[in-house]
Amino acid sequence: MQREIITLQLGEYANHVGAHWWNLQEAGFIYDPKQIALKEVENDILFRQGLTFRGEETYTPRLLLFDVRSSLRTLPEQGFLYKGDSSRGGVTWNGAIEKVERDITSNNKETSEGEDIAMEVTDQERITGACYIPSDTTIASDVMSWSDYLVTQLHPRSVNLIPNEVEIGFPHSNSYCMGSLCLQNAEFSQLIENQLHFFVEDCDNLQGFQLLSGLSDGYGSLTSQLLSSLSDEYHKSGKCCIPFLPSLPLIDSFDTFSPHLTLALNLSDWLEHASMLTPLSNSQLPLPFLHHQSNSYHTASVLAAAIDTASLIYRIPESGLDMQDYTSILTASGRKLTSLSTLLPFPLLRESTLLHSLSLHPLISAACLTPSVHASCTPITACNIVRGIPPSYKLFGTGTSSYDSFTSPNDLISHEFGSKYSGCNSFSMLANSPLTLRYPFPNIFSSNITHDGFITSHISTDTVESRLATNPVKSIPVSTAIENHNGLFTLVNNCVELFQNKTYLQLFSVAQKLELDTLQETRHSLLDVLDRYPVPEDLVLQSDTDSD
Amino acid sequence: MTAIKELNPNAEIARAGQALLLNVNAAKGLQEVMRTNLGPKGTMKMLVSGSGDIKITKDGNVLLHEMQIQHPTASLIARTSTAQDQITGDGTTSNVLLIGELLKQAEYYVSEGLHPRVATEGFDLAKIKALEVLDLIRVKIGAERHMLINVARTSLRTKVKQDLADLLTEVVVDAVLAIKREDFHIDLHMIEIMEMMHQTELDTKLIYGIVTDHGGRHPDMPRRIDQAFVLTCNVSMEYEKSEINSSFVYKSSDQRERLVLAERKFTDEKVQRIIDLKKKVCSGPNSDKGFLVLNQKGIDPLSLDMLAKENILGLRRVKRRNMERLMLACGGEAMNSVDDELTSDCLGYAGVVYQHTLGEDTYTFIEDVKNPASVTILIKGPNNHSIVQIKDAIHDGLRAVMNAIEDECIIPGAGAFEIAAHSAIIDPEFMNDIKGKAKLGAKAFADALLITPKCLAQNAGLDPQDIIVKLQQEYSTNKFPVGLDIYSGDAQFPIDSGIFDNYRVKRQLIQSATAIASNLLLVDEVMRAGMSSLKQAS
Ligand SMILES: Nc1ncnc2c1ncn2[C@@H]1O[C@H](COP(=O)(O)OP(=O)(O)OP(=O)(O)O)[C@@H](O)[C@H]1O
Ligand SMILES: [Mg+2]
Repeated sequence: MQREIITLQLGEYANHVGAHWWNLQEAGFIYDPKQIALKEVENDILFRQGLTFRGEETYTPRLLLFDVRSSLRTLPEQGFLYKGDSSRGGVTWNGAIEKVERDITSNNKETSEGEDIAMEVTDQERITGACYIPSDTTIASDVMSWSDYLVTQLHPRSVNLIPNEVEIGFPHSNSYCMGSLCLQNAEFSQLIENQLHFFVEDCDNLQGFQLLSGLSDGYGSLTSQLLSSLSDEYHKSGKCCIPFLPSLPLIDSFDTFSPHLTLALNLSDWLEHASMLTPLSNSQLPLPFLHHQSNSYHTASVLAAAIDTASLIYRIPESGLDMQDYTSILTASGRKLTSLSTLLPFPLLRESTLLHSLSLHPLISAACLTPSVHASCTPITACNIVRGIPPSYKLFGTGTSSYDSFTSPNDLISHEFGSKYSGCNSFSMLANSPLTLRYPFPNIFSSNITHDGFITSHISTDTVESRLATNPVKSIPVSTAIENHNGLFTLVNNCVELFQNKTYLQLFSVAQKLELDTLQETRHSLLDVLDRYPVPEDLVLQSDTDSD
Repeated sequence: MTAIKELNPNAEIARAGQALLLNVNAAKGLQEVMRTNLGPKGTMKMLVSGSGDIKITKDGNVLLHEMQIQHPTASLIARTSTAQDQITGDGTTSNVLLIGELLKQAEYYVSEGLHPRVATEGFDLAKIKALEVLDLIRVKIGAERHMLINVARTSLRTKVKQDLADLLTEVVVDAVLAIKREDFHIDLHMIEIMEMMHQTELDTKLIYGIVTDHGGRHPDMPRRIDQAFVLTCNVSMEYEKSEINSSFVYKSSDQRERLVLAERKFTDEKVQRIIDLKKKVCSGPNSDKGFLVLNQKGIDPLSLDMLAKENILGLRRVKRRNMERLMLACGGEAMNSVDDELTSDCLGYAGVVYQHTLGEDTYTFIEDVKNPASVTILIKGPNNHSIVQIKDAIHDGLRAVMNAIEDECIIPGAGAFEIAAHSAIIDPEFMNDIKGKAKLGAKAFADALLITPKCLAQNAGLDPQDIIVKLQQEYSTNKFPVGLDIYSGDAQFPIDSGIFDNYRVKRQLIQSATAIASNLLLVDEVMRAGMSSLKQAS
């Protein structure tokens, strides 16, 4: 039986990742009946079938996203599919009608007076077509918002705009209380209740929720609130949370302290209600084989590709695991924080063997997308996914007799993982489908990646741009590892340490109208979390000077 | 700043004058934007965003929320005015106009040398007089339907076209009357508002009962039930795994299947209990009656199938806030489990239950209930922006009716109060009691009140000065509240023509506008946007 997942995206960066993620989903759809046997991913888990008023069938994400109006740009709040009948019931009014352009960049006002202006006038002016896609994706500066490159059509109930009067989204000092401010707006909270209800009621057997959100801004606290009501109503469903962590400036004033503490408070709230939390860094990370830029359009594409791969485990029914199983295995001993690392692409040398490829680029070399992980620690539980090794790819060359007993890539990979994760409760899955990439996924691969995702030693003399334009990378093998890591204690520890600054704490409690006691409670629950982590050996020497 | 003071002892005064000027200009600017909105002949605004999203409104409160106001003074005025809406549900536009006009009138005297403090003293005295007049001209009412209709119609005709306004008027009045209980506070939450993108605005209607925006989810479930037993419950009818542990993964698929079967049985038993109850109650003389299950938790396809086979209509994931209303409406008890306590005593009743499907949306109507204390307003409209516009109007209408009932009185509108208050304040009998130059402040206040009839006239294409003269003349001869007939341009008696405003709206309006205008007059420094920022707070 299919087990549906509802996705929640909160904030601009989460929506960037989301836009790529939905585009990747659609790029992976298999339409060709001859290839249907290859289908692994059950798309109905993330998408729903629907019907417009005019009887047209639709297929749209089970998605609620939150942002401010200006991020929508040319995307109508209700999407394009379910447009009502605008030919009937225009503005009818006995007096004058004034048209005001709500332009995002300028506030120019245009007046047209007259009786009973019919709606068609503006309908003609309406931008037609699905979305505005920059003509040349290598020019990332053309992208102003995630809505510029989101190809997937949304259900009219997916977009939720933050109430105008609530300033939210950037880590300024007031942001922590912004989440609760939003929900105090009766109209907004009823809207969310209705939208969420629509998607939940639609599910035959809800598997859980995926939440993508900022953590150090108001969206993080809005997510806290949503999480707590989700765990209230749907406590048996899984809640996989992916917070995005910006690289926050060092604390040198109250203004720089505030987002750090907001992060700490939200982290604590999330940990209480989430099934699993995998923080990811939204800044540019140096990854081998990638040439991506530091803008959101590029960095989010990398994260989306990794999340897509890691989540295969509960999107491929054959795995036998759903989100609850998966998270409860990984979050053993009540440690809900996990890290995500990836090999993107999973390095397969063209015209070589898996064994040889692995020897040059061992699995250990995977890049960790989770910030502040103390590197020297080994995981206690882990889930590995490798996708897209072609069945025809040779395992090893002749003359490597010690590997003769291996008959499939699975054997070889498991062996590799076995040595990486000795003493750790790990499980792995090999999926056949590679990650299918399609425009407007950015061209982020270095020139030694072939269009089918192999690494070639033959470097073409063309520039990256020209080669990618003529022969872009269409699919890549990817591997990811979700690990429950002793090294994640640093993130929590950094949060706990913030509570030592009594002056800033006091200021924060005044600014956000929070009781100091509430802050202390948070500190204690973070300390409880910290207790679950053994202090890594190389840090034991730095003795504890916390006087409390 | 101290340096400037030493150099120029007059700097402080100069700065105060400058601040006042800036405040007055900001207030005037906002007034300019809003003045065309006032009254049934005001300008409708159509806000169009880059994506073609449309918002149509004439409501001051909605507009202030949509505008991005940067100027700190203007945003203070905007916030006061939206607070007015939060407290009373109406009068936002009038609030902005009155604040602007109070400042404008006072500025004239201040520029001629009147000290702002003296001006505000005059304001205060005049305000007290205005409130007295308000109490004098109010019309006492009970909850008579025709009076409530008058006040709702007045409000709604300033928001939507006349034919629609008149339809919505009946809807909101009857909705409030249906949920109103003797000696209880009116809880507007008992009125559910449901939207349907279908037909036209004029098909909007009031349903005595409950409408949910979801349906049966199984093709064989009954579409209509006449005379239904109703079970409201909060019981999961989905297949649920017992607590899993990591060893689950390593079980063979055979073992796994057996486990699933055992767990499935647990769910099936719960559904069977409900079926057993249905069979029991729908037997003998009741065998022609139907059975409706309203479940707050999920019902999965296999369970739906079991229910459908027994001709039971089952709704899953009923909204939490509807559970309470359903129980109130149908009677019965909300069950948290289906064990032995599940008996026919737990059941409620509905005379008729039917479903209506539009595209992918199904609506279930539960009507003819035991206790119609909760009602649903079903908004219809061909597109989203017209639905939103109706929804905004309905909110205003409901508030107007509730206010009128709670105030137990209403105020003749169309400028009648303003004309009466103006005349009472400039009456020498009152003026002579005011000492010194504070008289000028009171005069400014009285003149400022006239902004309402003036704007109403202007928006109706009439000459404001002609109108004011005409109305004042009429009032001085009749001493009976007289307002403007915006269609003919003549004077009229609003009490006769049924144009009424809420008492609390006017009261709040006079008080808050005077307070803010006084503050802005006295402020000797331009307000900074960062006022609320933390560094200054600490
Ligand atoms: N038929 C009418 N003839 C004359 N004046 C009317 C009529 N109906 C309403 N009014 C007047 O219009 C004014 C209310 O207008 P309107 O509702 O547009 O503004 P508001 O209540 O100040 O602000 P909001 O935008 O919040 O509703 C009141 O002074 C009322 O007496
Ligand atoms: Mg009004």
